Amino acid sequence: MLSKINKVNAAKAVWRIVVVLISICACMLTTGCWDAKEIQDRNFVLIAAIDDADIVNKAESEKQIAQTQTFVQKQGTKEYMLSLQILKIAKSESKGGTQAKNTFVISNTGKPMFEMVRDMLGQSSKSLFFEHLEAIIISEAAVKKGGLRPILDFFRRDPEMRSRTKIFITPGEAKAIAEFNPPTGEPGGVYLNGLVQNHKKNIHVGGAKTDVGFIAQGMDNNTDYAIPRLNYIDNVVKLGGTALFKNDMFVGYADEYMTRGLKFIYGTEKSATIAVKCPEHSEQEIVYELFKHDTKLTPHIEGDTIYFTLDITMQGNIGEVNCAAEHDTHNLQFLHSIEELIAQEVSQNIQDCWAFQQGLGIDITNTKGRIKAYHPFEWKKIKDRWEEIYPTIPLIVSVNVNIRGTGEHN
Amino acid sequence: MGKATRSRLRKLSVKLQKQVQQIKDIGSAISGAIKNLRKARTLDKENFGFTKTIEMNEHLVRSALSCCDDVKYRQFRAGKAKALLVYLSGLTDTSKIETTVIECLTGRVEINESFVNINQITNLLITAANVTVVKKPAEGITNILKGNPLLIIDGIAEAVSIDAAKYEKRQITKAENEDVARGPHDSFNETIGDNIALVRRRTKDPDLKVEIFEIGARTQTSVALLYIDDIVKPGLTDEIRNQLLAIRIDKVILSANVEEFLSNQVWNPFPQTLTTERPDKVVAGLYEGRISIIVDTSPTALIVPVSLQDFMQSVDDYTQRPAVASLTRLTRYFAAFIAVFLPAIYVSIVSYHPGMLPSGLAFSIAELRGKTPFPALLEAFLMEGLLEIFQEAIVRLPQKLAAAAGIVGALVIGTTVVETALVNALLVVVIALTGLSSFSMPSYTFGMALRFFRVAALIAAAVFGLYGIGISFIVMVVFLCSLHTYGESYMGNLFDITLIKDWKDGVLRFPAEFLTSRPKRLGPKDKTRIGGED
Amino acid sequence: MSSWQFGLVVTSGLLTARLLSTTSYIVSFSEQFLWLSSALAGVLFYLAAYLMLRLGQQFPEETIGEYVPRLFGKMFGSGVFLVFITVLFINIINCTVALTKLTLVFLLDQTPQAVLIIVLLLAVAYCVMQDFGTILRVIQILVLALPLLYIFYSLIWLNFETLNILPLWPDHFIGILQGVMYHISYYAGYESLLVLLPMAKRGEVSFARTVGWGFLIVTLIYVFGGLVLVGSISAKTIASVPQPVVYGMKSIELPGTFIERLENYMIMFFIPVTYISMVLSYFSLTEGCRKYLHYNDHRTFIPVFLPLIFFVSIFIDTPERYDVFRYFGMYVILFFSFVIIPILLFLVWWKKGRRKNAKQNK
Repeated sequence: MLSKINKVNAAKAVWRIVVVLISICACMLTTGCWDAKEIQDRNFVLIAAIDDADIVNKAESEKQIAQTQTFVQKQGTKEYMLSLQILKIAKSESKGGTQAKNTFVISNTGKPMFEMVRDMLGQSSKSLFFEHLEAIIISEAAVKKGGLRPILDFFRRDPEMRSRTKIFITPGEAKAIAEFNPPTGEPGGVYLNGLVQNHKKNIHVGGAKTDVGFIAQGMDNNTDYAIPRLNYIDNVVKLGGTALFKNDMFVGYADEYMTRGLKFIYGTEKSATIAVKCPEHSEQEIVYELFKHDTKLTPHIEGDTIYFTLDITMQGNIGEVNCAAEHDTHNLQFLHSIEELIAQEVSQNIQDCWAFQQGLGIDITNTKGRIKAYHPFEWKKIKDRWEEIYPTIPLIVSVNVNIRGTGEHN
Repeated sequence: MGKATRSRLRKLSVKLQKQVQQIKDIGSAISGAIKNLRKARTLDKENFGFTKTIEMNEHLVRSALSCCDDVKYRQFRAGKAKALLVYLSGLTDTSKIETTVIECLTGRVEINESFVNINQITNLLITAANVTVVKKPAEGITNILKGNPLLIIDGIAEAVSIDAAKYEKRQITKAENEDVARGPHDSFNETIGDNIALVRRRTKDPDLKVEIFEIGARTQTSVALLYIDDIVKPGLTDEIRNQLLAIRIDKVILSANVEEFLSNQVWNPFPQTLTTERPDKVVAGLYEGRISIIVDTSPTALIVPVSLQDFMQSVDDYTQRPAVASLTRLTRYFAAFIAVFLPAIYVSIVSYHPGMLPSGLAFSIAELRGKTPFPALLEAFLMEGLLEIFQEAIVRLPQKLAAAAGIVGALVIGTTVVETALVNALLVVVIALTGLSSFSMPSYTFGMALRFFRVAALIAAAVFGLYGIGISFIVMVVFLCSLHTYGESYMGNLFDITLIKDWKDGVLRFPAEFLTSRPKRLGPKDKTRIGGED
Repeated sequence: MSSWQFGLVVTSGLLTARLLSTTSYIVSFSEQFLWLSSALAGVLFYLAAYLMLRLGQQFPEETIGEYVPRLFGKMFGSGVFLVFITVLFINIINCTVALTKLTLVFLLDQTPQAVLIIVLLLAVAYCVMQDFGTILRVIQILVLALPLLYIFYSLIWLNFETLNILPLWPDHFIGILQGVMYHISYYAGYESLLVLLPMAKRGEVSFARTVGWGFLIVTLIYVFGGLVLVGSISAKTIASVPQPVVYGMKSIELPGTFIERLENYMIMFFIPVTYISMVLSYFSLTEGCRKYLHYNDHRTFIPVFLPLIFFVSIFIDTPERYDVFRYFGMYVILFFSFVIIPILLFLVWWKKGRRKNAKQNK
């Protein structure tokens, strides 16, 4: 009898628990779910393009900026124009015909980035979603105004941002690139992202340490950094060269040749091409294709002199010989002579680049950090005089080139 | 007739009706009392017994089995005394009775011989293979209903119950739900004798003990308890025996009726006994130190005590190579995880964390979902419901329509739902994977229990995203570890480091030469598998 | 509970989500020598755990709530017990706030923190309601999240640069030692062994060895983790980011796989790892109270402490309150581990010596 009563009580208790659980679930599902937002209810932002508002202003023939592209703000000035490229989710399948644009651009002017972004919700029917931000394009004029920090702070701070978003500096107008419709049909941001990802094979593009995360790291460590340069003329986009920054301010551009030198020092590429003039036929070129590349940049301090040594070992193939008919590419002597020419070319490139760096007073190769790392005690002594010492440090280069093969044809 | 006469007649008829009514009441009361008396006589085993007069004994039997027209009464003479054979015509082997009882008692007995003691008959005359002497009519009647006829002899206060049961039973066929690729294919049928014989065929161990009880107040179903005496944990058999004898239920027609009384937490969805149709699984369990229960008229045997690992094992693991079997087991654990959490992961990633998808995938999913109207949670519930209904329909579909079921399933669930833009195609893939994973569980009841948790995980994911999935996983682990069956934790022994020797046959299966000890968690008396008596 | 299980249980409570936010404070003192201060801190806290083991082994069947009042008087005993309880409270509250803050910032956005805290505390209470055998088994299953977490975390090695680690010769030791003090959030959680010790059976291996092995493994995880973290995102970045470990995971890109946002996976693995620590602390709390007040069942104390934990966790959500609480917690735990326990040990030793002398003099 007692066991029956206990069983009945236990059943009642279980029933009560079940009822409580169901009511909690019902409450949570109807009024809870604070963060549930369906994937199709978000607007994916792919590119953030930042321009100098005054220049854009002037380009639109001095007229007032349209009411839809600005807002009244109390604090801050109207320095920047932010344009966001947003993905258009195709509702119907459009097959054939012209390439349909699958993105659209909205703009706003102001200074704090966050305010502009929030105000742009007035132009967007869904909430802006930055987690798939692919590229940030900054025009040269915008970055000359106040440096890189005010522009990038919002992208460093928000937890929604990715740390591997690519940054570009463009001499022209950034908004135009955001409106660019790539011929491959993919959205613009994905296209630009892919451009930089080829940096391993394209020695004229620096891309190993130029994402938002690494730039933020550079900002914290007070080092100088480089950002790739994007050119857009006549509906064609090309990536080449780098923009150089010191103390978060824009200093100048390094062209493709200088970029190549920087990459040789860093050794970040997987493959590169080096063209040299043929020793016997000076109008023809021989191209060397690099496969493997080890570099070692070490500081040496002897007494009062500081110098750097750079040891490079390269291995690769012959890529192209324009005067192949007159040469026997199996001849070891010929190959050795080519190797020496290439070594000379590389060494010259590096020395030019080193001088270029010192001339501008910037330190992309992080010589400061290396001295501090390898010789901490001496660094303490010369820390204060670094600005004077840096332009005087020589670089001793030794290049060792090996040709492993000649490709498919002799 | 005058008025006075008519009124007198009327009064008389009223009186007559009352008296007829009273007589009817008394009659029904008497017949009710007779019925109760009869019940008392047949159920109470203490006070009523057979008497020396055959008329009385026959009357006892006839009154208990009144209106049972399939009971046959064969009267004959055994020597000088009158004899009666009572049997059930459908359950008894009449040719056997003829040769072993009637012929012996009528043919080989002198016409004037009389019997004083029942042993004279059982020891000398009856040639049946098994006879029992019965003193109480209740026992004799139960035996009649089992198919063993009752022999009553005039002048002897005991009756003889003769084993001559024969009835139609199913042939030993393949296991319907547990067929394996390589291994024996015979399975239990509904007769307890055959089932015990199948188990005995596989082991000639005299330590295999078989205890048979009758459970079920009215059905009196035979239930057998099998165990290996010197392996099983001391005390476990007593506990289970006591639980079986304490079952108070009127009918036992399925092994599930017994199973429900063996578990101590009745509300949890996870099965606490392993049900199997295969005798080789029963023997393997017995030799690990478990106890098996076989119920008459049910083809499933129960094995206790069990834990989670035993529900994820199948006979195929032991017939394949160890490396392949280990990989298959890992796949099963992974499938169990998918069966519970995949819809929840889908809902949480699509609604809460689309950043975790790579860009291309995110854009294409957004396009797919742009066409459908429902939020992710509702879609998932809709497809879940459809899947459950489909599963139920498949089980009950008539034979002729079974072939069409595949087409219906593919059309309704797969193609049409997507084409009408009710649900996006990715969700159909997710649900199909979930369904497949829950069917890949070796134990059907375990797969059903997982469905329970799928809904809970879905709701948790819909409210909290990935955090909800993490918390629900933890709560599920705690719940499974808190279940106890006969002192053994359900999931807790999966990674217990004091039972590290058991890991060799847990998630992975090591080759047979490493599996030299019985599972420590069952507390067997004989710890190693090798070696005979000691 | 065998001695190996004891070692596993005590050290599985060490690694929690608290370490995520304190790393930046430590690095602001010890700069790139995070690994060195982790190693030193590991040795230091193992010493504290060892002292606790010695103290507990003097009284094999009793917990701290029983023998201290018995030997040293009720006032002193109550005081010590109160400090012990406060230490466990602080552990639980720190774990709760750290885990829910982490989830709130990176996984969710607008969900109120209170709801997350309630759900977590209810899950912890559900586990503590079971008997200790079940809790032990749950811990042994959930601790598998720890190697998975570390494997995920090791992907940071892809971004490693030796330049960030150098120079290897530290130039100011004081900074490293200051950083060692902040490591309390890396290593706290071993105080529960004072309550768990009577439940463990001594086997062939001593408890000091099993706990030592556990501490060694955790210290190695921290040392290599710190090494790779400083190497991939430099020390200055760590000092200026509130959650450096997650920030480091963000910088990994695995092109060609569909795994993105690796930090979300890592946060998922942090949930069971922190849960274990919370369950252990809460169980020690209820079990210690039960033994102190001579009750039968530890489940009576579960609803007593939950509201207090909840309200304090909600209260400290502004940065200044959180800082005050953090410093308070740090000093209390250090005080308990390095002042009270040695004093107790010394007193017990002294009493034993006196008793021995008294016996000898007789």
